[in-house]
Amino acid sequence: MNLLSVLGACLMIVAAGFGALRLVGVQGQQSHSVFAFSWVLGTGIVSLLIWVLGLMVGGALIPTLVSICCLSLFFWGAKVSANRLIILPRLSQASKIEILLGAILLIEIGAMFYWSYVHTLGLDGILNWEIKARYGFASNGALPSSYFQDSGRAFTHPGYPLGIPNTEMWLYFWLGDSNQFWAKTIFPLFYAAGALLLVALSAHLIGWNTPGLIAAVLLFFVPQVSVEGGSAVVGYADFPLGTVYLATIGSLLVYCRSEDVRWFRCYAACLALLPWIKVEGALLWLLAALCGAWVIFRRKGSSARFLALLPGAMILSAWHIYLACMHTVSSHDFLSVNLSNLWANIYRLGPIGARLLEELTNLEIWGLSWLVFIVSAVLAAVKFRNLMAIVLLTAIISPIAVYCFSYVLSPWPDYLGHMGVSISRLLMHVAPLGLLMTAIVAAESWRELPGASIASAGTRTLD
Amino acid sequence: MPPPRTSLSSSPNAYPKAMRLFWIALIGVFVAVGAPNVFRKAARSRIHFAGPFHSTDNFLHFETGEIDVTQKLLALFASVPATKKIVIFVRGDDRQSGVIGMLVAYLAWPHPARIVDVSQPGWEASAGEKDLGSVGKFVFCRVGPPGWWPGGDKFGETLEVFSAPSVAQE
Repeated sequence: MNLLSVLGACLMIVAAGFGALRLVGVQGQQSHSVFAFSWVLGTGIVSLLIWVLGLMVGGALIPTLVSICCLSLFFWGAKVSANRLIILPRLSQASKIEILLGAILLIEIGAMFYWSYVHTLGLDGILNWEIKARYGFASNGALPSSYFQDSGRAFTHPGYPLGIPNTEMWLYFWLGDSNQFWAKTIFPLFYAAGALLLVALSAHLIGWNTPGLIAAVLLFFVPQVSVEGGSAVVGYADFPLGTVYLATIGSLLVYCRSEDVRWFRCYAACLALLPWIKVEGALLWLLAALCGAWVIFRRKGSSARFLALLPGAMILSAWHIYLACMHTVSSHDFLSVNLSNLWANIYRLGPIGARLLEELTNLEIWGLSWLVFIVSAVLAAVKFRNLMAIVLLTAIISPIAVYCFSYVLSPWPDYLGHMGVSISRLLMHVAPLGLLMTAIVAAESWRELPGASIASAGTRTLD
Repeated sequence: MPPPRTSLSSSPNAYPKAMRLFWIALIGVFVAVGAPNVFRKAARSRIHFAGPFHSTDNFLHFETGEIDVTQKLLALFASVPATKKIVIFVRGDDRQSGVIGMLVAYLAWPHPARIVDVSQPGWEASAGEKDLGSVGKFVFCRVGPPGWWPGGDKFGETLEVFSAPSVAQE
């Protein structure tokens, strides 16, 4: 019974995301691409609806209204165009290697589901994220002001946004009770969405399935993503944020490549959700918005496209106004940004750089991934001297630089210890994008061989 | 709608076969380095206490050695009015003590929670409750309670819960 309830809740999320995807104009996609984007957009829509409706109504009315909204979006999206709703993959058109890679990918996703159920939520997964879902569910669907003001629970970071907790709460509505076991279901689904986005975006960018499939299969062999502390299945918001960031930047890259404005709308929709997933999402939103603005400027696009940057800013502002109204207790994770603090701690930059290098070369945690990403980044910079390369490299390198710089303002006396407990998780925000870059760069290495060029790979594209 | 299938690169690939071999080797090493660690750690995962308190039960079982601690703690907290505070004593220099304290605070909802770090100088003053009537329970996480207090509800050797009224009577 619980399994059916969870299935119903997840289907409703995908239905809402599917409607939104059709409404932004991205239609006629392969099933895996539709699922991945629908999951990303659906979780954002459902969690935002729960938050907004929770301000006005309570109890059973919230899930009822959210369900009505999800179904309305689905039917509206289904009617908006005569295009087929989804295109199922045709094995007859796929090469043997693609079928093999697809089968491995399915097994990996199955393994992630299994590991998510046998593994507990991580401590931060319980104390920063699931706690909000549980308390919100126990309080008729909205976190009470007493939670935001409770200094005894400041360690749970009441100011963190509700993208993940409200998605967990959505499952609780369907289950009829809070449940730490079933709440974990959403995390392997984010993993599946991330892996499938790699396949779909690679196919759109290079017109060929195999490199994206290889990248998606390799994602599983990054220990930090699959099994390490803070991995994709222990209830932390980092991998979901990485998935949304991949969807955002990936859509922008497809727009750069195709000049198809529907992909710019998809970029705008995903961009808006970044600050709703995690605090660091606000930084990723800013960087992705700058990338989008740069693309509009270089392509001499309509200035109306700058409006696409507004929804994210509105969500960010609304959340901070809400926190201020709730008199939320603050948890000081960093020193305030001013010249005296910066000057006093600037000496930390050297040790922070050394610690970053140590992290990137830690084979136990990252395997060979960062070495591969660095090689890919160098090749991308040398070979693709175009707008796409600039966007891709900026989107990967700038968050890492800002994250590292933030430790200059760490209030911990052992600032390297602070970095040690969090940098692995922060790097997960850009790791999926690193794999996308690797898929693109590696695919280019094939192009000069007879019968293997991207241009000749037309029959093997997704759509 | 797929993009036009032209090359992304601005320069031709001078050594295509070498590059192809390079990438095949890199992917092979990528899997060879990552896979042992992934499978070794994955093999350690075992399912215990699959239920609504799957995670907290596992953590508290690990810390106290007892089962069903979550439900027992919830029952204890439910026995006092929701307005009463839960005061939790931990040692900041003992990570496990802090973890248990935070889990207890998580479970204490909707009661207000207060975590007191007894390793901090002057903690007695900060923990001093002028009005014992505002407190529902005192919880000691890997911290020894005062010897003269009446017996509380013990969970293993690491977690003990005292009812504030019975402490006040003493």
